[in-house]
Amino acid sequence: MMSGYLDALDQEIASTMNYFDPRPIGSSLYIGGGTPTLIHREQFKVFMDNLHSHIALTSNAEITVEMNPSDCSYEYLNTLSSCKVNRLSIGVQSFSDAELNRLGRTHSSKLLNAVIHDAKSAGIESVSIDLLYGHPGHTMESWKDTLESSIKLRPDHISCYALTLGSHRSHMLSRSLGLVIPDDEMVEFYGLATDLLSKAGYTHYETSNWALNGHQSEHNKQIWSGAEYMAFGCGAHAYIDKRRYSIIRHPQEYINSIASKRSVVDSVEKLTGVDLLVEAITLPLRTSDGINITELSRRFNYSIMEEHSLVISNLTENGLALLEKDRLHLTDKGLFLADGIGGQLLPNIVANSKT
Amino acid sequence: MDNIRNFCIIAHIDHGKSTLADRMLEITSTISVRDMRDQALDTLDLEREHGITIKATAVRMKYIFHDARQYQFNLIDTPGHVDFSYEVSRALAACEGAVLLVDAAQGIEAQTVANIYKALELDLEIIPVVNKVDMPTARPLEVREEVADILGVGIDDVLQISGKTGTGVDELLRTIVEKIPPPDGKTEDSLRALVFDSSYDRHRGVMTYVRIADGKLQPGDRLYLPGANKEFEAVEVGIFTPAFKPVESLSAGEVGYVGTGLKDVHDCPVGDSILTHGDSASNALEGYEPVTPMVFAGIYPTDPGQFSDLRVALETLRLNDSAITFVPEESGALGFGFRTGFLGLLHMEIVRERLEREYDLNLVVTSPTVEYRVTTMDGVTTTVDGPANMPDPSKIDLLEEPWAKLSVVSPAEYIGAVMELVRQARGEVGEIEYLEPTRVLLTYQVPMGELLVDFFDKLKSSTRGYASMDYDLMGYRSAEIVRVDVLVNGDRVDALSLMTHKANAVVIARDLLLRLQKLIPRQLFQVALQAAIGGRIVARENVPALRKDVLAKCYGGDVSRKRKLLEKQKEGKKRMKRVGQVDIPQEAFSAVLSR
Ligand SMILES: Nc1nc2c(ncn2[C@@H]2O[C@H](COP(=O)(O)OP(=O)(O)OP(=O)(O)O)[C@@H](O)[C@H]2O)c(=O)[nH]1
Ligand SMILES: [Mg+2]
Repeated sequence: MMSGYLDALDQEIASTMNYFDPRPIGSSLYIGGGTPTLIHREQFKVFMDNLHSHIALTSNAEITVEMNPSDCSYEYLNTLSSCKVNRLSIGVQSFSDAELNRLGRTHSSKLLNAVIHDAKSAGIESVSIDLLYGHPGHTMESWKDTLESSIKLRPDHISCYALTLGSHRSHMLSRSLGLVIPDDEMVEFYGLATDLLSKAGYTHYETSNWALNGHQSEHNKQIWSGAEYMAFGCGAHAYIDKRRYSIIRHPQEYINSIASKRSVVDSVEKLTGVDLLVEAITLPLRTSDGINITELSRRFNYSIMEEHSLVISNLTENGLALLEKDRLHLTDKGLFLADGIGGQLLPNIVANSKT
Repeated sequence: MDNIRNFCIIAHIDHGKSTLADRMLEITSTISVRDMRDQALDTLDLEREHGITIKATAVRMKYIFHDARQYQFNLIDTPGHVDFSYEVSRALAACEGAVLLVDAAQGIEAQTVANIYKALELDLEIIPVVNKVDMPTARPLEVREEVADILGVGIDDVLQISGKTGTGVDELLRTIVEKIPPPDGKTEDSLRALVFDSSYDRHRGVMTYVRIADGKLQPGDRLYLPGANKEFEAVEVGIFTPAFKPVESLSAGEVGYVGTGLKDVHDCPVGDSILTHGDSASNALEGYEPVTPMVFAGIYPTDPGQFSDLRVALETLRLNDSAITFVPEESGALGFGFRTGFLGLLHMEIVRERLEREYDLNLVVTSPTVEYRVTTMDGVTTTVDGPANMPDPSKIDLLEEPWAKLSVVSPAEYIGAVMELVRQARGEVGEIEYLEPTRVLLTYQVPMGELLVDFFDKLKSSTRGYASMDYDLMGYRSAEIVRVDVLVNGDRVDALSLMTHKANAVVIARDLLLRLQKLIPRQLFQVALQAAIGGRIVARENVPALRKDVLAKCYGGDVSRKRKLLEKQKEGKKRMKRVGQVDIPQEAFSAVLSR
C-alpha cells in the first residue's frame, strides 16, 4: 500500500503543478504527518527526487521533515541530508521514560541525545524537538526535568505544547475522573517553560515555539503571516487564492480517487473579506511580532486602535500586550490568552454578520 | 336543561385532574381511541413539556346514564399551580359542581384546601374523590377520612378512583348526574352570559368562553358587554369538543364560545357579562375581580435592535394571556425594554419561554420584585414596581409592601422547621390545624416579596419534600425597603439592582454577589463586584482573570478550525450583555433566582 500511496501522491503533485503557469517557486517545504516513519530510506530518496523535479524551490529554501525519534537512524538522517532536508522536527514529548510509556511512545529518553547529535553530524542545520505538558498526572518536577534535559542537549528549536484533549466528551470524561489539569495550573507549566527557555537563550517567538537565533521555523511563520501555500497528500491543508482546501483523509480513498482521476479535495472554503480580516488579526497575534497596525489598516481599512482603544489600553495596563510604534504584540502572559484577546479585537461587525 | 351538568375538576398540582379528564373523554367517546393521548386537554406545547396544566380547558361530552337518558356534561379541567389559581375561580363560576381530587398517597395539600374554599364560597356541590388508588403507596382509607373530616361529610361520600386505570370512574360519572344540580336558568328570559375565559383567533377575533345563565344566543345576534361598554355581533357560536365546533345556538345552562370579531381582548374582559344589545346594564351577572400581576421584572432584548419585535410579541401574547401587563422602561445597562407584570414566577418563566421560542427573541430578564406602595412627603401615593422607579429615600414618607396569607400543609414533625422558615421570611405565626393526627395545616401572614424568591425551595428541602404551600394577597403593610445596587468594576449597573427589606439586605447583597461571581464567566481581566446599599459598600467579590485561552497548535488545518471557534464564541457572546468591558450573561440579571 505504501508504494501505491507514494505513486498516488506523486501523481497528485505532478498534475496539480501542471495547473500553474508559470510554476510558483517555493521558499519552504514541510513533510509532516509521520509519513517518513512508514517509508523506507530508498523509497524516500526516490520520492524526494520526484518531488524536486515537480516543485521548484529557492536555493536557500527551508526543507523540514517530521520524525519519530525511534526512526532516526544515522543512515536515515544521512539520506534526509542528501535530499537537501535541512530541518528536522522530532516528536520527543518528554524525557521521563515513565511518562513516555503512559503517552504510548515507543522511544526511550536515552536515545534522544544520540539522535540530535547524529542529525547534526549528518549535516542537518536545524533540529527541533516537540515537548508536551499538562497531560494527566504530569507534575511540575518532571516538567522541569524534561525542560532542563532538553536545554542540555541544545536543540536549535523547541516547541512546547499544552495537552489539548480531542473531543468535548473525552474532555468531560477525563475531567470527571479528575485527570485534566486545570487551566490555572497549565499556566504554571507554561510559565516554567517561558522562564527556563529564555534564560537558556531561546527566543519565545510564538505561543508554543522557542528558537535559538536564526532557527525559527520559516514555514510556520509564513502560515501565521497569512501567506498562501500548497499541500499534497492525505489530510493535507492548502491555502490558495483565498481558499482553504483540505484533502481526503482516508489513504485508500485517496489512492482510489487519484487512480480514477477524481478530485482529492475533501472541502473548500472561500474566505470572505471578514474571514480574511479575522485571520489577519488572530494569526499574527500568536507571534512575538504581533499585528502590524499600519499594514492592517492599509489592507482592510480597519483601524484596530479606533475600534478597540479601550480594550487595547486595558491589555497594555494589565501587562498582556505591548504597543510599540505600529506594532501591537502580546507579552508572554498575553500569548497564553491569544485566542481570547484575538476575540476581543475582532471588528464588531463579526458579532452581527453571522447568525 | 335538566340533563345538563356543568362541573370542574379541581385539585392540588399533579393530583391527576387532566388524567381523570382523559378517562372521561374515553368513556363518553368524546375523543376516539385513535386520537387519544395522555392529558389530552393539555394542548399547549409548554403544558406538554412541563407536564402541567397552565390554562383551564372546557369540553362538552355526551353521557348515557343507566336509565338510558342522555346527559350533556360540560367539564372544565383546571390548572393546579398557584400562579394560575385565578383560572380555577373563573372556571368554578361557570359551574354548579366540582370534582375535588385528592392524591391517595399525598393526602390533602395546600391547594386542596384553597380550592375547597373557593368552591364553598360559590356554594357549589363538591364531589370529593380520592385518586390514584392504584399506587402502591396509596393510603385510600386514611385520606378518605381526612377529606371527609375537612368537608364535614361521611366517609362513604368520598369516592375512590384511579384516573390512570379507570377504576371507579364510572361510579364517579353516575355520582355527577345524581349529585350535581342542573343549571337553573330560563331560556325564555333575556340573554345573560358570563365570560369566564377568552382567547384570540386571527379570523374570528376575540373568542369569549361563556356560560349562558339565561336566554339564548345565536350567530348574528347583536350583543353588548356592559363592563367594557362594547357592542358587537356574534360572528360564530359554538361548543368545545375540545376544539371549537360551531352550533346553531347556545341556551341557558350551556357552556360554549362566542366569536366576537373584536380585535382587543381588553374589550371583553373575563368576568364581564354578555347581554342583548339594548338591554339594561343592571341585568349583568356578578363577575369577579380582574386578575392583577403580583410580580414585576424588566424584559430586554439582548440585541437592542429587537426592541420593536419585543413590543409586537408582547402585544400578541397579551391577546391570549390578559394577565400580563407591560410598560416601556429604559436601563443604562440594557437599553430599552419593558417592565412586565406576571402572576408569579412560573408565569414569568412561561412568558419568557414563549417570547423566546414563538417570537425568536433573545432576552434578558431582571430580578423580579413585588409592587410597593410609596407615599412621598407631598402626600402623593404611587406604586413602585421596580428599582428604577423607587423615589429617593429622603422623599419617602411611607413605604408599604404587599402581604400574603400563606397556608402550608405539612407532616406535623416539621412544624418547627416551617415556623423557622416563616420567621426568617419576617412572617407572623398563625394557626395550626390538624388534618390528621400526623398532618397539619399551618396558616401564616408573610410579606409577599419574601415568598417570591426561594421560599418554596427552602420549604421543600426543610420538609424532605412533604410540605406544600398556597398563598393569596391579603393587603399592604408599612415596611423598610432598601435598594441593593451592584457595581461592576466600580460602575453601578442599574439592571442588577434589587429591592429588599432592610433587615435582610446585607445577607441578600452578599449572597447576590456570590451568585454573580459564579455566573459571570472569567474574562481577560479581573472583574470587581461590589454591592452597595445607599452608597455604602456592603460586600465585595472578584471574578479572577482568565489565564489560559489559546489553542496549543495553529498550523495548516488548525487555522480554519480556530476561526470557526472564534466565530462560535462571538455567537455565544450574543447571549451576554456587554456592560463596559464586561460580558454579563443573561442569567446574571435574575441571579437572585439562580440555584
Ligand atoms: N399511578 C397513578 N398515577 C396517576 C394517576 N392520575 C395521574 N397520575 C400521574 O400523575 C401525574 C400528574 O397527572 P396530571 O393528570 O397531569 O395531573 P394534574 O392534576 O392535571 O396536574 P396539573 O394540571 O399540573 O395541576 C402524571 O404523571 C400522571 O401520569 C392515577 O390514577 N394513578
Ligand atoms: Mg392538569
